[in-house]
Amino acid sequence: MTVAAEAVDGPGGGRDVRRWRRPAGAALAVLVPLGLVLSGCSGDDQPAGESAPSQEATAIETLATTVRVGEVTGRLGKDRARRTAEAVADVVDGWLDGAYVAGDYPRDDFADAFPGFTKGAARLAGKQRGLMSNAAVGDRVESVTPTRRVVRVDLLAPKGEPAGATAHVDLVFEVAGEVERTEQVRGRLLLTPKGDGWRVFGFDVERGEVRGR
Amino acid sequence: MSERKQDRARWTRGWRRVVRTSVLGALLAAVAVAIPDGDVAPTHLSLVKFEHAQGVDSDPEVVWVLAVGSDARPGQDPLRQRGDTLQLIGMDTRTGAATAIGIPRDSWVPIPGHGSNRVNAALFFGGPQLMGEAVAGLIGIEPDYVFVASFRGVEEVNKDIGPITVRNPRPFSDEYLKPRGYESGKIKLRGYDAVSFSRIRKSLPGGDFDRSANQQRVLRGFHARALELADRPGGIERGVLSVMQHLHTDLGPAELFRLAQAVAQVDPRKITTCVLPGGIGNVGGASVVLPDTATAQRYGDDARKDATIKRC
Repeated sequence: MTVAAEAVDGPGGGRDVRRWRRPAGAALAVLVPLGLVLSGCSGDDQPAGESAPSQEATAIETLATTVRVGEVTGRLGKDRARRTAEAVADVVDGWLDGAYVAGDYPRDDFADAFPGFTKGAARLAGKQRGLMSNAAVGDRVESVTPTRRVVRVDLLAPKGEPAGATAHVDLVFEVAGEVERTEQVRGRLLLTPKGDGWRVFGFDVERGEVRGR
Repeated sequence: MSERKQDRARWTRGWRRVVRTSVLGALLAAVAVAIPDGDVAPTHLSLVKFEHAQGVDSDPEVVWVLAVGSDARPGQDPLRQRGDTLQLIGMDTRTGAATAIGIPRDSWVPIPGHGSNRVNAALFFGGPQLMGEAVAGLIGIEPDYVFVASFRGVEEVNKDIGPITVRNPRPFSDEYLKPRGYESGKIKLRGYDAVSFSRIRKSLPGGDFDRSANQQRVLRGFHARALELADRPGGIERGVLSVMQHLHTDLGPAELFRLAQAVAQVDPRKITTCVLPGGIGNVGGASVVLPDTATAQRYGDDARKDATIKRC
């Protein structure tokens, strides 16, 4: 399991972080967060297939997540908001990788699909794992290729301290193998701070097959 | 451990984090903003098949909130006046079901340590905790949270979240609170109107019982409005902030946020509401409601585990 990271200046003087992930040899690799790309507040999201970053991309690299700071309710400086959104997106990425994108396919082990979830939320997600992960099709899939990974984070910080976050997620990926199709997972993860990190305590997610662009 | 003892244990835990304040509709409205996710990316794709998953990790899984509308006037402590609005609200975070049990304000009930009195006097005698205990004695469910709101607090939160829509079954008015009255049918309520719609009693044929039913209509209106706002970026977050600004609460923002998100998961199709029936009696020359205590216990037994009442 190897992860390379780099940082470049982003639009508006912001700091973009791209962490390139190489396909892992072991199922545990799914727990490694994919990279982030931090940008400022957003315009329209890119259409699928257009958000793949950059010059460094090679055959062994996968799509990095575009992270956007959404609405900030309360008082939180721009840099702090950006760092907080990145921390939230790290947790979200753990789920996107563990549940859908990473791992060795064909894959039938999704026991670690929900890192960063509270125990109760992981249990709830596990009961709906056909939607909240690739568990329903994993053993008939040879590869998963993401074409869009966007996370927009709304923050609640009423007293200058982050107290809650809604992570709006948009993931599009192509599966190939016995099952071949393009799928979209979108919705929101609900998080609160716990210790020095964030935990997912709830979710409201939809998933569908995509045809046409 | 018996169900009763479990409830007691939960009650005790609940009070450590409890509440002082807020609103009823306030929570269900301001806080209850947001749901799915319309604002993620205009997709250039077409979904031909889609499924939905949701859930909120909550302990307990069925959350009970006693919403109390205090009749405190400006300058008075809303936590030590009489409660005008009493709605015991349950939410099953596993299923999205919710129920509201309306308790007529003048219901004559035992109040621990104070003999018997109108149920709304419990707030005056002992604040939110005693109010919760009095209701628990009647229904058999001890709330995890007690929210107390002043009229002004409800007004302000309603102004923040915008007008609500209610289905009013009959026209009614009040020469002091709403001389022009409310028309029947689907009507919009803004600010003060949401409060007076919930307060008027004398001109309603069923008096206190009809008023309690109107309060439940307002609750549904707040919830529907919350879901309308749900797709807007930062909707839940702004709702929580509104509650924190206009209502006094000792819940931390993170816990309020979690509670708000639980409210936002309530499915409007799974909301049931009942008003506790009773007869009119006279105690010491004062007109009171003599609640049907058997029905009260039945409601509690019915809804305790799944926040659903099968029949009123």
